Amino acid sequence: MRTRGSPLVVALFVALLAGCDSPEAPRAFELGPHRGQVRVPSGWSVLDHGRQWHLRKGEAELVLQDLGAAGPQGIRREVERARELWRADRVEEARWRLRNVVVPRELFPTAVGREAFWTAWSAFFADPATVVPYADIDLAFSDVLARVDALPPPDLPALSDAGLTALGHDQRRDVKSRQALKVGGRDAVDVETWDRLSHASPRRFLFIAHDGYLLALYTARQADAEVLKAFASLRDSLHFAAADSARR
Amino acid sequence: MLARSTRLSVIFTAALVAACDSGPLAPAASRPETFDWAGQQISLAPPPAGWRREGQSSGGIRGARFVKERSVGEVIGVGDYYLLANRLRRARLQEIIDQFDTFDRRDFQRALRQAYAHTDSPFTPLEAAVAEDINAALGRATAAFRMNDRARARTELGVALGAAARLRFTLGDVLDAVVFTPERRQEPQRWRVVGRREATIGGEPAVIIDYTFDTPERRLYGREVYLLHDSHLFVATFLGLERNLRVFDRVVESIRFSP
Repeated sequence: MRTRGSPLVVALFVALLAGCDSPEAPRAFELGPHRGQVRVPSGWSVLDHGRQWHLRKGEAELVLQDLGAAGPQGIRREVERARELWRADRVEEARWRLRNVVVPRELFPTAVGREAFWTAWSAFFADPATVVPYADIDLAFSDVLARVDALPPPDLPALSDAGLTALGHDQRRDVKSRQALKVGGRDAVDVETWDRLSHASPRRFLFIAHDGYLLALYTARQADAEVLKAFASLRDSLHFAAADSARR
Repeated sequence: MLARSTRLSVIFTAALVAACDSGPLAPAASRPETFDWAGQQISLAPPPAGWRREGQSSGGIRGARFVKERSVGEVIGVGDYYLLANRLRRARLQEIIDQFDTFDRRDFQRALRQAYAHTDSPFTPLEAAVAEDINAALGRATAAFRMNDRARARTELGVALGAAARLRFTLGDVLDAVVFTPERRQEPQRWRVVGRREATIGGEPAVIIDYTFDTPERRLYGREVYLLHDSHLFVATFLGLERNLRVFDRVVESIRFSP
């Protein structure tokens, strides 16, 4: 009788082991300035769209996305890079870079400061058909950078608000909860949102701030139990390469 | 010995079953949630599992609907009567004052467009007087801002806010606009009011109406609760089977307002 029971026990163990989530090998990612590694949960596929990864399992979907510069520090880096391009006579690339910098109006405490900032900024685009020599634009860069430095640094909730806005959050939805935490050694905010009227259709967002740039992990649609499990698994496995943003 | 072994097996099996996440046998009471549909927070415990949530924005009410799954179209609704809430200008004016320094001329015009008080069909004579005062002050603020006199514009916003703070509604002022009557329904002969009583809900005076609705298949039971908190009229409704009135009553009993 004992010898007959052993294969059953072994089969039971095998079945139990198969039911466990096998640890996946870490996978490298590079999304804009964010570089690192993450473990993609078993059964999920990754579609690399450049600045964003779409992770899918059937109808379930998560997105890992670079949201670009956020706050004065990131804006400064972008302006500095545009300045380098202009100095190298790559004026159109510099202008393209500047055009893609998001400077939210909420960063400005007064309308007067905001108007002065955009007046200074407009010097880059004053005569778009002309290749303005670097010597003629150098002062404008210095002026804009000084104004960027004068902007108050946003706190993490403000950064997560900017991230939510960038991802289409509007007055139809409310923030249910917001929790500050560390992810891969970096400051992050875990945000839950739901439908404002019914508190249905929960969604989940993670915003990770580093060096003036924002990385987001979020549920593309309603967050059910399986999606939330994968969300937590991805969040907990995120590791970043040191000084990744220096490599843009 | 055998009996003891069997007992142990039963206990072990029971422990295993208990460890499984099988969920409760009966729907547990929901935790209270705080909603804000039209500028006033209200806390309530939604119906238990088995009632699907939806948003509602119709009939002048903005709120949540809970539809009983696999039933006969039973619905519980709770919402803020936004046609009344929209007449309250305190919060909007305070927001404009708080953001005043960030406004340029265009922002200011845009913000004020949402701050003028309604003058059509006032609920009370006080509302008409307050609306007149608010709009006059906002007109002066607009003129001052246009002349780059920001200090004066800010002062006039304060005057408008003071006027808005005077506006108060009572349940009696607004009840007639929403209260259930068969005449407001299609086929009024199918609807019949069977009771009306006053109550206190969430610390506020309330009126409760009971009615029936005869469909070709069966009689449905309806209950509507009207309560006013800080000039916001909340309406809770039920239409369904008589046995589920208790589910509705539990939702209503759970209503609380922040002090």
